[in-house]
Amino acid sequence: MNHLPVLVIVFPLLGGVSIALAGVKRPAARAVTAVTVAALHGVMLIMLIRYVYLVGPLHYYPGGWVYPVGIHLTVDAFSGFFLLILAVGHPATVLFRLGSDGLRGWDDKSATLTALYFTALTGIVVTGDLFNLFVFVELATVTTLGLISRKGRENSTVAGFIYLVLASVSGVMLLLGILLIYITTGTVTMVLVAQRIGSIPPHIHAVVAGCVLVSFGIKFGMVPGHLWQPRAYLGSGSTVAAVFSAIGMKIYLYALIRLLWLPLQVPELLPRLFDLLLVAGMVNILAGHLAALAENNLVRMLSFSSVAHAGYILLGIAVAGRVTPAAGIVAIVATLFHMAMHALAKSTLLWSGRTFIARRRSSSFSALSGAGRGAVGNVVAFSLGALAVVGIPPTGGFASKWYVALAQSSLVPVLVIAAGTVISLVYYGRFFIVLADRNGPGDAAVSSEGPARPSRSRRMLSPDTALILTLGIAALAAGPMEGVVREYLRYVAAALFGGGNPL
Amino acid sequence: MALFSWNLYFPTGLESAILAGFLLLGSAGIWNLIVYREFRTLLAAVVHLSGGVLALFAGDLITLLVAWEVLTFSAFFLLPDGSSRPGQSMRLRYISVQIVAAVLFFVALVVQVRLTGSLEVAELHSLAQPFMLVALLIKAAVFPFHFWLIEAYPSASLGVTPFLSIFATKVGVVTAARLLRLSPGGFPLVGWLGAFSAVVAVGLALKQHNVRRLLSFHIVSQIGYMVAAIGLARGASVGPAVTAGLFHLLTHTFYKALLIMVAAYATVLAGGKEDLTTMGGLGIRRPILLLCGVIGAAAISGVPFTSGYASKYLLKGIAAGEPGIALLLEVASVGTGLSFIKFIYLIFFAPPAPATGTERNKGAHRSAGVPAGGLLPLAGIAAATVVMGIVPGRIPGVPATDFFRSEALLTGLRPLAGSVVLWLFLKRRLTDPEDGGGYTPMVQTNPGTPGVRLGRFVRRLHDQDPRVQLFVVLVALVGVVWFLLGG
Repeated sequence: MNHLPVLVIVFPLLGGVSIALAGVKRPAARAVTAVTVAALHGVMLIMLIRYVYLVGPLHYYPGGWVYPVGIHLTVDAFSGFFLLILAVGHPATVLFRLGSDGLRGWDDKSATLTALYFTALTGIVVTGDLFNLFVFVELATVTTLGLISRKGRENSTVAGFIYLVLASVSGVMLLLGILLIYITTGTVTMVLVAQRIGSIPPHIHAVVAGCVLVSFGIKFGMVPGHLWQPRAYLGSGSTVAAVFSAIGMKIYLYALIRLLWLPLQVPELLPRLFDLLLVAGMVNILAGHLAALAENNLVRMLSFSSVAHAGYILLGIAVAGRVTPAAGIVAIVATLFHMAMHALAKSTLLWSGRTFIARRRSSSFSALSGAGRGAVGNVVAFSLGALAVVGIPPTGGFASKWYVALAQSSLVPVLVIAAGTVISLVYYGRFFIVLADRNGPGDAAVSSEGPARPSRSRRMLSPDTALILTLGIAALAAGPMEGVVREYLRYVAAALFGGGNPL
Repeated sequence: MALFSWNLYFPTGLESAILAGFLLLGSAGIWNLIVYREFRTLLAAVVHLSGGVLALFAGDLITLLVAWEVLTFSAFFLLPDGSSRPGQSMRLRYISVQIVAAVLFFVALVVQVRLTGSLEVAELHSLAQPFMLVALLIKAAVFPFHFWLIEAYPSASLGVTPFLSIFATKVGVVTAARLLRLSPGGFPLVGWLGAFSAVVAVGLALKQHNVRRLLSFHIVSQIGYMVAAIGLARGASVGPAVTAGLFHLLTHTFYKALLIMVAAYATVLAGGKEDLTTMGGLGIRRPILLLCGVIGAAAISGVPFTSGYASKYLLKGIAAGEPGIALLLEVASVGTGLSFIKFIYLIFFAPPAPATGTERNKGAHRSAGVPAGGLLPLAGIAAATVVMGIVPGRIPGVPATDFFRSEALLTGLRPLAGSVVLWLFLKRRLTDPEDGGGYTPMVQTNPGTPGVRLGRFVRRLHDQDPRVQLFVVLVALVGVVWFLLGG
């Protein structure tokens, strides 16, 4: 029996604890442990994905207790794609921290919290029953809270509090939804819920779907549930903000798609939910981009850009729910493509932005004026990320946006996507000009206000720069290579629609 | 169907001539950049040139869009690199406008692929045409979408403006020639838009005293001629109308680059003064410059045995089918001639204004800074302009008709006669430093200002305290559930 589904949860959980223990005496040991845990977690996830790819969907029953009694973990091609995001994201996050903070510069909480956060995200992806889903979502909430407020500054504490308030609402909604399912169907195992959901009263079903949508909407930032995000991203710092935006958001979207399709059968039972998603997607795009346009702070600007990109993804989901499965696969492929591109581009942007922010000890535009001088690698990476996220051909961002637009069944969303492209070009272009400004204050003038961030490497290409350049180039290369990417994504999307393994 | 199939095809006929023109002028332009010591822009210039060439080679629509974007983003680095706030916002405005054109192209492509499933470079589906029309009007700087050009080209540095003028708008016209066939209900809408643009831009140009701004308005006007011709095309991809439009594009690209280079050179000689009324009196002391300037001015005015005459001859043949458009273009020709009599007169022959005497001396001093070789690209382009004017039939794709029949020569000279007569009457007004010269930018605000105001409102929502945010989310929840329950 393949134990990987449970190992990918248990291992980083124990790893997080051991990181904390290892760091008690020697700070360097903390970094070493964290890198080891992340690397092994990544390897396990890849092995799991490979197994599913070669053998087929995997079901795991801890202790041999088959549902409805026991816990059910399951991995199929669809969840495999999100495990892939985690498999890349977790090691990349830790490596970036290693590159930017050095071996000894780590604070005592981030590493542990990051490992636990990835544990929770992995749990959300592999769980096969709703109760465990709730548990992992709450674990993710708690670790998110820790990551937001760990710096103890005033703004991060406030951000943490606001997140706590909204996440509580989100948690209650999810719990309410799961309770209603349990009361009406008598089970929380997704497979069984899917079989029985058709017989429950339609209004109960609608309330359940609404609760699930709002609950995850708050987590991934569906307007107006995104209200916590700008402050939280700013409070948590750009390294962690990239994890929230590039990875966390995608996993919550996974949970939403998974719940809407598999247990709740929304495409058959409640298609009007997708009309709502279509409107919500357009609202997200416009509100996110406009708010980003008005922003004078890099991290907040990027957080609003994430809100907008959640909108593109919602547009893709909205179409997928309203059309035939064959066309739905095409729409889901576009959606997943956009998720992958946003993950690559946004982590590139936030992480390359971190270097500028660390130099000036602030993320406001006025402080960052001219911060790009002398940091060629970071400016190049930032430019690649911006081109991809705006959607300039031939980057992968263009390809994903193209397919999302092409999947739409009416013209209005396409025009909204086009408008969003223009607005986002304006604010990224404006920041680029800020970055290249020759009249900006020098580094010395600004850093005299406080101690500079720990040792920036003097070398041309430090490991963190190499990492973000790799991510940026991947975002670029995904455009010309979109045929390969979509081939894989078709196999992924087919699993959501219950199609067998086409390979 | 792969999205980026990178289909290329080798341009044939007139397009191959345009390709040769792009390469020649691109090389001359890069030479010019070196002469003006614009070394920082060389890389961007080479990329810009390759974007123009890629557009000609593009065998599918996505490749064409990529070429557009390459042109846009390399132009961003050709424009002055914003040591001043206005310079920065101008650059940002430039790429914002270009990206509006590009996303309209994008929308047209989405519509095209949804309806036909094809990314071939061919006449677009009729529902995709409106989006493409606006995209091309912006890209080709047709009135009233000309403001970005008028703003950007004069504010680039002297060596860069000729280079910029070669590619971006011309690629827009080539794209129009390939994709755009829009005549709702048989009315040649695009033709009228082009002709209208030709006249209005000439009218605005007559009011300018800033030399590069004047020339920029004439770019808009000349593009209007091409768009008018292409707008009269029907059906087939390369008919006589498209040929006329593309031939005018070819000739115009040469003589306009020449004129801008002359203007830039004269500006350097005048010590950096760009106001025509203060430049005066270069006259015979600069014979080669004078000759180049006269050839350029003659070509744009359509004097026989220059390239402009030949292409305007074909254009007139096309416009003859639509008397209104023909009349507008005739009026524009009169204005063009008038404007360039003024141009030549003020740069070379006008008595230098007394107040500017010291300036001119200073200019003479600084003219030592113009290195040898500065006139080389001018002379080369001027020669090409004359050769194209004498043997137009030898250019690939141009019909070998008799361009120099006596009645054709007469019709060609008619607007020029009008220009000369008008010049005698209007000379004082046109050259009065106090009159005209006024220019109010069409877009004075930042591109995002209305958006910024709306955005600020959105932003204020995010600074509310948790109670308000909680309330908003709960309201949203109630709304969602209410909607899902059936409204």
